[in-house]
Amino acid sequence: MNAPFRSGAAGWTLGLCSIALLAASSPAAAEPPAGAADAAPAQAGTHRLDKRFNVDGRAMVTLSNAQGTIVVKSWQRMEVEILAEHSSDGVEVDAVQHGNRIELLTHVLRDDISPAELQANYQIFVPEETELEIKNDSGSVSVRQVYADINVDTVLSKVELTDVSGNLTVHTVDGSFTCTRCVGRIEFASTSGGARFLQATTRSLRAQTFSGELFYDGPFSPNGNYKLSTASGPIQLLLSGTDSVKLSVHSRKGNVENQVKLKPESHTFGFLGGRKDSSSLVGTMGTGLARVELTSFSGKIFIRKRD
Amino acid sequence: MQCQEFDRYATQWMEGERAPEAAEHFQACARCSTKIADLELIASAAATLPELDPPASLWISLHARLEEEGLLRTRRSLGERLREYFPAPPRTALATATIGALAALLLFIPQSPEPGISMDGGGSPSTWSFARVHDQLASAEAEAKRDVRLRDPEVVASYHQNLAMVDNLIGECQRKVNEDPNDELARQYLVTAYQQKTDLLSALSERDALGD
Repeated sequence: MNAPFRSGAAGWTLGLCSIALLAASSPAAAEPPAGAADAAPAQAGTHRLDKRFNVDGRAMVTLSNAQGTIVVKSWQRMEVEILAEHSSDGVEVDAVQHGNRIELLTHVLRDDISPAELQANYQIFVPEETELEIKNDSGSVSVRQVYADINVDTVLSKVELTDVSGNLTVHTVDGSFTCTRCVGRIEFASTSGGARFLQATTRSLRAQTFSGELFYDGPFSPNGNYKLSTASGPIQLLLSGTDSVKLSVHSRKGNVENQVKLKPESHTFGFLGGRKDSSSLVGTMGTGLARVELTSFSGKIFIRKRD
Repeated sequence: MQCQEFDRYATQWMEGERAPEAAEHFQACARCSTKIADLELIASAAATLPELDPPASLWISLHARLEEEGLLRTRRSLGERLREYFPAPPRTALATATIGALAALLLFIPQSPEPGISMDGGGSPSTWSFARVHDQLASAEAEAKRDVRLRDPEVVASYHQNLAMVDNLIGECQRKVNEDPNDELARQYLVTAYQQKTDLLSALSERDALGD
């Protein structure tokens, strides 16, 4: 195991840049020697870590952070670069390498720390095929162009995955999720967070939230399985005339609004049959190659035409 | 051997089998060697736990998840099942007890029950004792509220609000089930809500153990 690099040690850069500025800058623009940590003090009150790790295969990065902005992007190098920043002396960032696994942890140094002092922001550059496991209770998590399994676990963070592929798993309590041009198996579970799936390419989508809103606009793969479920939140699905789906829609207490033409099924699903206060719809579009199930307890379900 | 193949081989590995191609992959792959190390840690921790009488809530949660995943018909390795439930080692008493009980359940669950066979030792799902589940989860919630100390008040507030929301759904579904025991969707949402409450309490406990 390599020695950990810590934000509280003498090797910290005190930086002017916020993570937003870091995000805007090119990763290749400022290149410290590989394997070395930056150590240039810049501004009192801000602690910054810039650390690179060489990897020689499929890397894995794990991050556990309480509060802050997490940005992960890929690049073409077989290196993982960590740019971390926090303003409090009450937290410390540890970065440890075990082979191709990089572990990042923001940990609390004092018991009397205020909530505002918990914040630590990260910008991480990784090889394209890097697995990610990210825990960030509040703030935001953004991942772009990473092609391996991604697991995000959060309470309040807004999560954005863009142009990624792999087994994608996002769990939130209250945080929202936007999945843009995601490829692979997608799983989202939340209590009150919503999710938007935009132009995903997947054969397996499972999204469940209690009060959040679920929105799907994208193609449906032949033999794909799409399950969206809420308790009280609305569900919105966009379909075009060329889609081939078999649709099962059930809301125990909410309404189902359908704008598209479906061929009715001869055998209907028996869940809600006969209940006056429930809505149900089962039908096929095209040859019905993909299976789509939308279920809510009391939320409204909208099936709309894609423009 | 690729990682996926090694994943399928993990159970045999944990039972002491060392096929040459698996050993070669294990030596070369940091990801798989880390996973095995995690499993060994869980196995050694589980061996030291006292025997527990698992609460009914765990039956409910486990059954719902297994059924949802289609696992009641599929044999999966112990390693896969453990990994699904325990991505990180437990650190608090509450999490440890939960993990111990779940591990015990996972070990003794029939591997391939026929579809429709209940998991509660005789009754159908309709005979599940929701009242018992409710009481046990209420007790776990009281314990979590008493013992768990998170530093970020927004995170704490979010947990409390979401637990309250899940409680409301439990109440609503319970009323529907009482009115009509054949209301299958209300029953499913009731099970899902209990599962969600279990998950929230477990996550709350885990975050506390990790020091926020």
